[in-house]
This record gives sequence, C-alpha cells and structure tokens, in this order.
Amino acid sequence: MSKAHEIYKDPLPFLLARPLPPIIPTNPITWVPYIYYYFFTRTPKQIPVQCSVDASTRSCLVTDREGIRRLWTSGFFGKGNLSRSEPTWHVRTKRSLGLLGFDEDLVAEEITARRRLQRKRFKAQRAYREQCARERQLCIERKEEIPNHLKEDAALPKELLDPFSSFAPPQNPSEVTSVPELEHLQLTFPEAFFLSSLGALTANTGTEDISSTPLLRYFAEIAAQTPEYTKAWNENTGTSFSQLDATPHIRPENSFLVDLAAYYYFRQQGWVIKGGTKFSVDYLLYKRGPVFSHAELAVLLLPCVGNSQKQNLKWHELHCLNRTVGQVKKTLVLCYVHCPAPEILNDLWQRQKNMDQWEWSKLILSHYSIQCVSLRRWVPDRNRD
Amino acid sequence: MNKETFKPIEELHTLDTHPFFGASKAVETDLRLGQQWDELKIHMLQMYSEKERPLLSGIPKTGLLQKKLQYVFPIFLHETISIKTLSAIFDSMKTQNLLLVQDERGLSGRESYIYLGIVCSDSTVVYYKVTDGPMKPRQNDEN
Repeated sequence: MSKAHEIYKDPLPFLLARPLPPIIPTNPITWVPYIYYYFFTRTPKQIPVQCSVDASTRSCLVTDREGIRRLWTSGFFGKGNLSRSEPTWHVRTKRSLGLLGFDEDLVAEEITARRRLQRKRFKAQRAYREQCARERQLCIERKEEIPNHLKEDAALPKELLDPFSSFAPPQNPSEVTSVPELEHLQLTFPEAFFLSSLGALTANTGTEDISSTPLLRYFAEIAAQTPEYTKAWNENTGTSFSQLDATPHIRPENSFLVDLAAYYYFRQQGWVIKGGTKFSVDYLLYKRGPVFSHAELAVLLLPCVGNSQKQNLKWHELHCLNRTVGQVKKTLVLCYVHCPAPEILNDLWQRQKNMDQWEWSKLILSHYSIQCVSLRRWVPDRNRD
Repeated sequence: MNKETFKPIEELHTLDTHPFFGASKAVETDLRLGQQWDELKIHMLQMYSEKERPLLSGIPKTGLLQKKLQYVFPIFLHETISIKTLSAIFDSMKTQNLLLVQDERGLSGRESYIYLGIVCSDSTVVYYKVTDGPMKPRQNDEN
C-alpha cells in the first residue's frame, strides 16, 4: 500500500519546484542554495505528451509508453482500451502465453481473478463440509456406522484442496515468443482539454493542422457533429453527408461543453473522475484514485438552459437508477449544469478571434455553473436518519 | 493466439472512411485481443436501400458461449437505436442468408439473437444481448 502512495504521489502531471532546505538568517551557509537557485536555475520545462485525436469515437489516443505512465500515475487520466483501467493487456497476454511466471508482477485484473477463485474455492469447501455434516446426522439417526470419508476430520477431496487447479494453464500452441505493445491509453475530450490547458498534452490530428484552432472549439464542433451524422444514417432521411455543416452551430447544451464544465468543477475540488457507463451514469468520482478505494459518488449530468431542463428523468427511471447505484454502494448525485442562454453563447463564440485561446475558453466556461443534489433511498420504518 | 491475432483483420481497413469505422474498430480490437475470439469476420448489412452498416461475427474461446458463432453489432453510446434499426438488422441478416444463431430460451424456438457492442468515448465496450422475439423466463437451475 505504501508503494502505491509513492508511485501515485503527484495529483496532477504538473512539475512544481522542489522545496529548498530551511534558511537560517544567522548562518550564511544556508543562504547558498537560495542564491544558487536564484541565479542559475530555470523552472523545469514540461515536455507535453503527444496524442492523436480520433473524431469518430470522440477520444484522444496516447501510444507513447512513457507518456501513458506519466498520465496514469499523476492523476489517473485515461483508460487502457483493452483493460479495466490501467493499461495491463501486455502483461496479462504474456502470462496467458506462458512468457511470464504465474506470480510475477501481478496486475489489478489478475489479483481480482485470483481473489474470486479463492472465494469460490472456500465456498465449495464449506458446502462440502456442510453436506458431510448432514450425512453424518443421517447416519446417526439410522444408527449406522459413520464411514471414514464422512468423519469430521476427514481430508477434503483433492479437487477442492488444490487452490489453482481450475486456472487455465498457459497455452502457446503457435509458439509465440514476443507480444507487441498493442494497447493505447484513451482520453475523453474533457480529459484531453484539461491536460492541454495545463500544458501536459498536445493534440494532433493526422490530416489537418489544428494549432491555430482553439481546442475548445474543435472538440465542441466534433461533439455537435457526430450525433447528426449517425442520426442521418440510421433514420434514412435522405440527408447526404455533404449537407451536414463543416462548422456546425454550437448550442449551449453541447455535450462537450456540459461534460467539460462538470469535469472542471469536480477536478478543482480534488476528485478523480472516470467514466460511469457501467453503472448507467456519466461520471464516477474517486477520492484519491481507483487504486486507493472504490468510487464514492456516481454523477448524472442534467443540462439546463435558462429555465428549462434539456433532459429529464421520469420517476421510474430515477428510481431504477437510484437502486442500481445503491446496490453497488455508491451515492447518486444529480449534477445540474446551468448553461448560458443561446444569444450569450453566440456572442461569446464570435469573440474568439480577438482573444487568446485559453482566455477565451476560460470566459466561455465561466458562464456555466453547477448545482448538485445527492439522492438516497429512505424508508421511514427502517432508516434512522 | 498466434501471430495473426496481433494484426487487425484484413477487411477492417476497407471501412476506414465509413462513419461507423470507429465503433467497428473498437469492437473488433476488443473481441480479437481482449476477449480472444477466433475467426472474426465483417458482414456488411444492407439496412436501408443503399446504406450499409458493418456487423461482426466470431467464435468465443472460453466461457459459456464456447465454440459457437456469435454476432456483434457495433454502435456508439451517443447514438439512439430505434426498434426500426433493430428490426432492420435482423431482416437484413435473413435476406442476406447469414447463418442465424438461435436463442434456446426463445418462445417458439426460432428466435435469433445478436449482441450490441456499445462503444463509449473512454474506450469501454459494453455488450447487450438482443433477441428478435419473446423469451421464456429463466429457470432457477439454469446458468
């Protein structure tokens, strides 16, 4: 556990100056480090990690191994596309092919699998012992001799004792000797924008040069465009793809802007944010990170423009969601994102040409505000509070 | 697993200008490398007059679905799937004479099923089973 505290000690991929030794006014020797740092060093420059934008899946991919490690260990950004959270596909595949020992360098998925198997084994042993006890009881009632294999201290059958016999042994029929690194780290658009604003990431597209386009505008346009694309395709409305705008109109409830506003809000408070699709919510919030504890909160985003909510839940949907989230011991939080009125957003959008990219993004985001409500099921005669 | 598993299947790159290429690639990668399915193939379904959407098929190696052909239809999380789309999938599968997989819990025994592979932007792929008819309730001693 202390190893985890050491590896994940940086909350963000941001290099801060290291603290200097204490200064004592009467002892000139302690002044030396300060004088040295004043004259000779510069603030350490961060080399941003490179990533490529994949518009159709609305994500950014990082393939550089050192970049992946840095982004994951300082803030838990991104997810390995073939793993549950941290990219571990390479290690697991090598182990299943027999290229790695049974217990070397275990990763999260493997630890969980082993623990589940141990629990299953323990339950099978307990069920067997209970069955033996029942048969012993029957023998006593029938006044028969208790056979040896049913006695209390009799040995358990072999398949119940051997701890890992049902684990699939490593199979390598085609004699593969090396496994290429095929997994990448996938960042969602809010994560990629957040990291770019810190200077820790640079987004590249294969085809166009986007260094002059503000990243906020680029991502918002992709988010506005992709549902229209797929909708036109599925509904067979006869819309040809050339009719879809190259620069779509950005609405205040644009899914990227809403996601980003909530992302910034929770990140500023120190939460680690991960996707919540598996629990039918938008975000899962972790106190320090997935490595340290399970998620505490499950957040559902509800955008509102002016006085009207753009998305609402019927009572039975809310009840269903609350039950699902309660079953996995998390608290449901409904996060209302108040978006600016369409005229205000259009006006702000036009101002982009006269402003620096990040100042303009900050201006747009400052018009979004967040209000959170947490829900818990309460039964009058069962719950105390 | 052999050297071929480490490369995407040939037919995939013919789709790279298709709007649903992103979802198909994510599902294909997960099935081939994550779930280790064999014999992955892409079938183009003629869903509406000229438009086609890809459907993946493969054979799982482990678990309860072992060694039987399964179909997976990749979609994006931000898409809305209507009943019209789902019936179009099953209808085109029948018209194009694809081998249908029967659901053993189906009411008449002739219902077939597919899996929807829902691709999220954080790279999670969630699978849901869709049967094209009513099913009998699950019995307690069934898996």
